[in-house]
This record gives sequence, C-alpha cells and structure tokens, in this order.
Amino acid sequence: MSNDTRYEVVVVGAGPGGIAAACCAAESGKSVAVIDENAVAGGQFWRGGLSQYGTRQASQWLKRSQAVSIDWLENARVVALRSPDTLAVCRTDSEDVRTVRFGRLILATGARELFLPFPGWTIPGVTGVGALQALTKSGLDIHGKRVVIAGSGPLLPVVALNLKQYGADVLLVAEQAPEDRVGRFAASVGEQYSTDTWVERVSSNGDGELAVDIRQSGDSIRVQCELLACAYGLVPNSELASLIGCRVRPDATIEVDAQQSTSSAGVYAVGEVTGVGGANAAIMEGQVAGYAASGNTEALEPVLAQRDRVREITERTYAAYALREEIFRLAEDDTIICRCEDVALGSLLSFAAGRTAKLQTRCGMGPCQGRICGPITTRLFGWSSGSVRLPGSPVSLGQLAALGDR
Amino acid sequence: MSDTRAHIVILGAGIVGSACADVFVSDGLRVTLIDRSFPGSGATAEGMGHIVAMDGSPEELALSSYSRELWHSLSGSLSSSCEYRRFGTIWIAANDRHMSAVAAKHRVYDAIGIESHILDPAQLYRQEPNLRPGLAGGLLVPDDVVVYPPAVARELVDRAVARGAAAIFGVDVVRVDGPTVYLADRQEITGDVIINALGIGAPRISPHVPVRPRRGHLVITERVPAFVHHQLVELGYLDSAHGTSPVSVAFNVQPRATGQLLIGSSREFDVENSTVDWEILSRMVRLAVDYLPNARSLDAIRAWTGFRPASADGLPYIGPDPYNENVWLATGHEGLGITTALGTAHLLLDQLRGRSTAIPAEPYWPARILEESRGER
Amino acid sequence: MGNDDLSVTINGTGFAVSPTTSVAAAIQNAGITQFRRSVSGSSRGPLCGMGACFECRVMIDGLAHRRSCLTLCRDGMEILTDVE
Repeated sequence: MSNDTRYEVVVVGAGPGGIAAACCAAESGKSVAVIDENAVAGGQFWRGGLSQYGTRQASQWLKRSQAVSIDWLENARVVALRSPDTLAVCRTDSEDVRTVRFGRLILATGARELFLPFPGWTIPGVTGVGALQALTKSGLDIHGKRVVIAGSGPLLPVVALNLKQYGADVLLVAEQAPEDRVGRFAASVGEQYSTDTWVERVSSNGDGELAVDIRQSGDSIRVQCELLACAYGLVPNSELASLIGCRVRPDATIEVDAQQSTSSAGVYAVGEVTGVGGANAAIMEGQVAGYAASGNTEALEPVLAQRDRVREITERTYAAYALREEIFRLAEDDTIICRCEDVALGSLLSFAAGRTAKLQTRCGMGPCQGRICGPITTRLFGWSSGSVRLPGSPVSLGQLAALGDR
Repeated sequence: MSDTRAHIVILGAGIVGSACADVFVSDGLRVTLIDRSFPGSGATAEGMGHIVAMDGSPEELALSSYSRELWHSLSGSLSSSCEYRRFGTIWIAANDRHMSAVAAKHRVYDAIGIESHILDPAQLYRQEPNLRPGLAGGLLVPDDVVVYPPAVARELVDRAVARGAAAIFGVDVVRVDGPTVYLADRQEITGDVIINALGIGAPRISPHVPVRPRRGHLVITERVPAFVHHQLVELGYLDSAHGTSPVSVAFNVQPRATGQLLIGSSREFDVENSTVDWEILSRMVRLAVDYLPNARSLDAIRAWTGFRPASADGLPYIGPDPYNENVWLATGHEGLGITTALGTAHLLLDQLRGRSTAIPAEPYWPARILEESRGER
Repeated sequence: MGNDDLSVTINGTGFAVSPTTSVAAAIQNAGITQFRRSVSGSSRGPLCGMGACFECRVMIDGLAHRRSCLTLCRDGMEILTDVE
C-alpha cells in the first residue's frame, strides 16, 4: 500500500462544487487533494474536463484551478473511512489502493438520476436524460439518431438542445409537469417540448427500434425512436456520507448548516448531495465550504449571501417540477424494480418494510446496492433506504485485502 | 406433555424459533410465535447458511449430523427461494500435519456413518481448480448443504401459520412472569410452555443464561458462477471456532446458489458494535485470496457483521430452564444455528411429548451450565 | 473528435476510437445494444451513464463486471459483451 499523504483539505468529487471548494481552500493557503472516480475532473456538468467548455464560468474555474496547487487523484474511489481522519481509496483503473489523511473533508459527491419504472424501462436504448448526455459527451455518436427525451426537470430542455447540437433528431421532449409551471422553458427547445406529457410504456420492435407509448394531454400517442432518455430529476449520492456517519435526511440529502458543515465534525458537504440545486448553487456552496474549511472568514462572508440568493432561485425552479401521481403508478406487476436482481413489482407488494423485502426477494442486494431501486421503493412504497454497507461501491477482493495492510 | 393441544409460546422467529413452530404445529400442538421484527431477521440473516456435520465434540457431531439428516428430509418441501444446494464441504489440508488431521476426521465421520472422502492433491485440484498450488489435500463431505436462511425461516413460519400457528411480529417481548408473556403492546399471552429462542437476546428473558454475542464478519462478491464448487474450509477452522482467543480468523468460502461467493469467517468476543473492523475484514479477505489467488480480481459488493449466540461451553442450551419451570431454552447455538435448528426443534418436541429422543438430549440441557456456575459462586 | 488513434476489439472485431471515448460509447457505436444479460436473462444496456447502476458491465481485458461507462478506451483493449 502506498503512502498515506495528509492534506489539510480533501475534497471528494470533482464536479463544479468540488472544484470550487478545492480552489477556495487552496487559495486560502491549504494543502488540497481532490478525489474523483472519473478519468478527468469536471463531474457531470463539465464532463470531459473544464477545458472542453467555452463558457465564462468554465474558463474562470479553469484559470483559478491552474493558479494554485491541487493534487488531483482521478480514477480513484473512496471506499470508506479507514480511520477517523483517513480515507480508504481504491483506483478504478488498477488494483492500487492507498489511504489519504485529511484535516477537513468536503463531500461533493453529486447526484444520480431518479428513475421511476414503467413497462419496458429495462430495454437497452432506454437511458436516463443526463445519462444520454454523458454517454454522448464520452463519444457516443448520436448523429441522425431519433431520440425521445422524457421525465421531468430543467435538465430536459438543456439536454435536448445539447443533443441537437450533436446532430440528434430530437422527436419529442416530454415534460410531465403542467405548462403553467414550467412553460418558459418551452421556448428554448421549440415545438418538440411538450408539457403534461409522459412516457407510459416502451416496447422493442427489434432492430434497435423502440416504440414509446406517450400520454399527452389526455391522449395516447406512439412514437418510434432509437433512443429514449427518461429521468425524473436527481437523487443525492449520499452513501459515502452515511458510511462516514454524517446525518442524512429521509430524502437522502445530507444535513448541513449555514457553513456547509455536516453533523460530523470537520466534514462539509456541498452541491447536489445537500439538496438538488444545479451547478450554480453547487459552485456557491463549494466556495462557502472551501473557505469555511480553511478558516478563511474574510473570504467567507461575501459568498454566504451570494449562496443564499442562488439557492433561493434554484429552489423555486425545482419546485415547479413536482411529480404527478400517475408517474408512480406506471409499473405493472411484472415490471422490474430492482434491475440488479430482477425483482418485479408484484413480488414486492406483500412486504411492509424495505429490509424484509430485501432479505426475502434480494431487492437492492445487487452490485448497485440499491442506488437505483432504493429511491424507487422509497417513492412507491414509502420504504426507508436501508443502511449503507461497506465498501459502498464494489472493490476487488485484492484491494479489500490490501486496505487493511498496515 | 399429555395435553395434545397444549399451547407453546415461542419467543424469537429466527431459524430456531421458526423450526420449532413448524415442527410443533405439525405434531398437533398449539403455537404462538412472537418476534420483535420479522422471521429470520436477526443472526439468521447475518450468517452463512452452511449445514455441516461438525465434529468439535461428540455431542456437537451427534446434534449436527442428526440435524443435517432432518435438513435432507426437509429439502423436498423447500421452495427455490431457499436456495437449498447439496454443495458439500471440502476441509482443506494445507500441510502434512493437516493431512493427518484429515485422516482422523475421516475416521470420526466414518464411525457414525457420515460419508467422506480423503482427497489427494490431484483429486483436490480436480474438484477445485482455483485453489492455490501446493496444498496437501482435503476431506470431501458430499452431503453438507448450503441454504439461504432468511427464506427458510420465512417459509417454515408460513407453513406453521398455514396449519394454524398464531404469529405476532413487530412486537417485542417485555418480560415473562410464570406462564405469561408480556408484550410491548400490552398483549398478554399465556402458554403451557414458553420457548426462549431469542438467540443473543435470550438473557433478557432468562438472565441467568450465559449467552455471549460472538461477532463475525462476512463479505459477498459479485456473481462468478462455478468459481468454487463446494464450501471450502481450512482445517484450522475448528481451532478458530472452538478456541477462546479474543479474535480468530479462518478461511471459509461458500458458493451461493446465485453464483456469488460468501467469504468468512471471523470470531470476536466482547465486541458489541456492528461496525466493520478493517483489520479483521482484510485479514479474512487476505486468507481467502491466499487460498484462492484468482479471487483477487473479483469484486466484493458488501461486507457486514453479525452476532452469534455463544454458550459457555460450545454446546447449545436445549431443554428446561432450571430457574423457571414455564420456560424451555433453545439458544446458544453459536455458529451452528442453521445446521442444528431442525435437530433442536425435534429434541424439544420429543421431550415436551415425553417421547424418547433420536439422540441423547441430556448433553444439551441448560442445567449443566447453570449448576456449574452456581457451584462456582 | 475524429482523432481515431486507438484500436480496440469488441467481441473480436477491431474498431478505431478516439482516446476520449468511453468503452460504453465504443460498444454502442459498434451497433451493439445488449451489453449484458440480467440475472434472469433479459437484455440490458447502459442506464445511468455515470457508474451508479452497473447495467453497462462488460468484460474488459479478461476482467468481468467492468463498468464500461466509467472506463476510457485504451489501445489494444479487448472488450467482450454479454458474458457472465
């Protein structure tokens, strides 16, 4: 096992919030490391790296991150705490393991998409919305592909425009929320954007062709496409926070105070893990945590107020996308809920609690450890998400063996 | 028990309590089964589900082999969710010293009619090609079994309920006074006999019963079908299981019906928290990849701890509680609770009915320990 | 883009890809939609695109269960889909 370097501030997650936190801590004179699972820092928002994006915001943070000294530990996954001030870290592209000690820890682990099951959602070609964007940014050729984008949230029009730029033929953007709440987004996409509209079922015609049954203003229509991207917003990635012992709310967001400090001393959390709010909020929170973790009160004061303003705007935005009841009733008895273990809705109906269902049906016992089905069963049945178990995300036995080797 | 319709109140719906419920109801007794959570949710859900003829002592072997036969008979009626597989066990001999232990073990099994086969290295590697080179051999016990215990517990309870047993789940037992059980929701249930099958919780109702939690760690991998074909246990395991050292770790790897590998095992006394201990976890995993080098690259998806109810002398407490004439004990099974659950249920039933038991029941009577500890005072 | 200077094999067939291409994208670009089979045998492909769902697992250079969406193509990489 390699050395356990100590940093004054360690950031987990290299999305906008993590990058901002790391920059602010480093600018405050702290030694800083950022640990991220991906090959290149940037998170989902700046997937592929800041330098790929021409925006003012991206250039600004690229410049700030290059002006200071930060250790970027990429292709690296935090497994758990090895001891109270030490992270156990595994490489994702090799069998190497290491430990990283920290003075302060900032969790910027982001969010994943919320999937709600409908008949056919396991067919290849059906992905999340951010997922299709991520796949496209990592080289998927969607030029000329017929795409339906569905679900809910401000991500839908953003991804639609983006995929169009990549040459996709976006047939429809189906937003489940009513027009009076989200109407102003329609203009940016054009005529394909349709509110009060949702996917009811998908079937495969073979040859990679999908038939998507869509409920639109009381009518049912069928759209043929090659790719269906459907997701209903975001779910915080708070598994690591749980393993560390930070208090996590029933909606999976990490509890933080005004300075982004969690219930665990010396541990901060920023961005989507504290409540879904988009990249701007994450950047503001990252700055707050970066300065707070560094004890840089002078720089902290002005960003606190800015953070609160951005939060307020985003909270209003997201409130418009409350999910309609019909979305939770799309799955049928044979619709898969737990994709890892192929557990269908019908076999879960007789259970009163998640833990019983898990033990008896294997729901949530697969490699994703309930990351996909946990948020579903919470919403469909009101089950609380079970405790997170080591290693949080799969690591090889060789790595597990090596992590105790000291 | 002359009253054929006597009412038995069973506390705890782990594998032991569930088996009791099923066996008692089948014999015509009235049963009420009580659990603070749901069937098979405690130690039953945390362990390996290895049904093994274990020869730590003649009494242990008698009970485990008797119980193993009962499992074989039960298997036909278990649904696929119980994942019953007669994978067999191979006791691995790393060196010549272990090989002589293999020969001794073979003789012990042979003497009570348990099939086993001594494997030379070539035979061992034919059975298990993923084992590391250089091992001395092993002992194959073909009729040992692997099950998924929480599903079995649930199924036994469902069967018992279908035949008329009453089940009260999600309610804790507060105390037992004479023949009456007081529940947290203010229900009072009176039985002719109360069975304390609360595992590590048994002393809550029977405070004089020495049951200590003995913590264990387990790790489960991704699906890797046919990586191993038998439960593989190092011969040093018995030292680990029966020794009294504060922490012991042994090589113990089980193939699951799902194709996953379940990796054990560790034993610790006097640890009460369920947090995974890195040192122990990685010692255990190191041992596993030492015996199975190709397992290094396999993904571990989950690690956890559980607590075995350890008795004072390594044998379970099965029989009347000498301090409470209304209570019979069925606890202290340590790591053999799944294996010996069915044997426990039948031993209790036969004694309750005043019939002769299939194996001598006295060695498991709680009185042995309680009288001993009284003598020491 | 268009800088296809790596070669990988997918189920034995060679493909030229750029170094910023994920294995998941390379597989889909090769016209393959079924990455793996679920435990009960149905077809699966990527869902989340960011390493959370484990649906995009394939065998990479002899190692099973690799998440193709988190893995970038490397020269000479051997990728197999639909293997247990």
